[in-house]
Amino acid sequence: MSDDTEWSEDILNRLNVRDQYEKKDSRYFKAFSQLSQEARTNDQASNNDKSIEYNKLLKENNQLKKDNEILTTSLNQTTISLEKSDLKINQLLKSQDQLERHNTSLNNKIKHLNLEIIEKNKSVEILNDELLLNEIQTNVLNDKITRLSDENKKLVERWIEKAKSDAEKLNDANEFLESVNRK
Amino acid sequence: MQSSNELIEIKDKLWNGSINVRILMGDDNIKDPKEFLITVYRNSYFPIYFPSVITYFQKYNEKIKYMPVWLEYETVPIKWNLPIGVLYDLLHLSSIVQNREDSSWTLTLRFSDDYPTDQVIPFTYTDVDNSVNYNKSLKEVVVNQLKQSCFVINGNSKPIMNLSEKDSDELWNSIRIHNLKSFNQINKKIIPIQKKFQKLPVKIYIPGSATIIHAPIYPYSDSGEAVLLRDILEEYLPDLMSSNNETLGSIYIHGINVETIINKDIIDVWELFKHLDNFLYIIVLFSTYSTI
Repeated sequence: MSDDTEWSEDILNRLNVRDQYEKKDSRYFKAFSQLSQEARTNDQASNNDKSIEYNKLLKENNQLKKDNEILTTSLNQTTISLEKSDLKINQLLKSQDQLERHNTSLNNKIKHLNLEIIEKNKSVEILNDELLLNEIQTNVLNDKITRLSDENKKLVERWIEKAKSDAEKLNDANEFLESVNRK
Repeated sequence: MQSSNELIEIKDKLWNGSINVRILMGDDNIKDPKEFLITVYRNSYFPIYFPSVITYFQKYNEKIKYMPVWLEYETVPIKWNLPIGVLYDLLHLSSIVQNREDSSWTLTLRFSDDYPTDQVIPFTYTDVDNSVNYNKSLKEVVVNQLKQSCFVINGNSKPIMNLSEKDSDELWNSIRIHNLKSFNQINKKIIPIQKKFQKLPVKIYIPGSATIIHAPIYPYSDSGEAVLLRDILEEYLPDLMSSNNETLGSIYIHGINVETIINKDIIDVWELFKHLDNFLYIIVLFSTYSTI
């Protein structure tokens, strides 16, 4: 981009230098053209023994030629301005086209994201269901744990009771044996 | 793409580029040579201005009206079928880059029975009053050149052949009166849109040499890559490039040194710098350097 701007600037500068040099004396040349044109009209008028009306027509014709030249120059300027506008319009249309394409792509993206959200919502629902199921299972398991813990506690108590009675029995046996030995 | 305003400015400068020409009447019978000063568009042709030059000089010699005239630069007859800017660059540029004091171009207007038909295309048409019709001959030549370029660009001449009579007349008139709007309108019908060009009409001239390279250029290579201006010059003028890839001469288009765009696509260069006949004219000056 900067390279393109650089070269167009360079070309424009060179054209300006060219015109500055080549059009240096243009005003004298144009003045000569105008004067020679005037002189020619006057010559034609004086050489021909025509009516005043004819001379008037010659002058008018000369003036019209000049006007025509001015109009052509102005038309060329208008055409250049028109080209500028056309180019600007084309660039704006291009930019509009790009923006429209970008907009379409963003809309598509939004559509995709919406679909993704719907899918994700479904997944969330499934996950919620699973969570609920798991909670129920946890509750059931917790109940089971409580039940088993109670059972375990009872068994431990029973086992302790049994161990206690076994120990008492063993103590009694030992006491008996000790009394026997003493005797 | 470069800034649009600059691009239009460039087109404006190219369309309105003009040079000042001092025409001396080459008549041995007149001791004090008469001169005519005129500003001419670079993008135009000399015969368009002949009628006003002749009208001015005919008061010194009536014969000039009835004999085909030609212009000479340093005794060399000028080929009127080339655009004025191209002639100026080809014949006069090398001298002005050395001595930039006088910007105007001095030419001699000749008229005699000894018309240089071996060097310059003769004018064959006359009007009812027996005066030479320069416009008709020029129109014929320019239209032929447009047909040639149209054939190169499109692969056939149909677009120009299919122009209505009104459009053909308008195209010629736009060239004659230098009307950019009409010219662009009709020329768009000849040049295909969206750069679908078969080939590009390019002419390369070397001042001081008889060499003219008239080459239809393919805008894209076989591999589909855009062809550069450098590629064209390297192909047709291998002596122009030194071993370290620098140019040994100066490349001019429309009177300016275009070395800064030597690496640009030829299609872009052609589109911007083409002349009225849709040819791109490149002038290569060897061993001359300028800042223009």
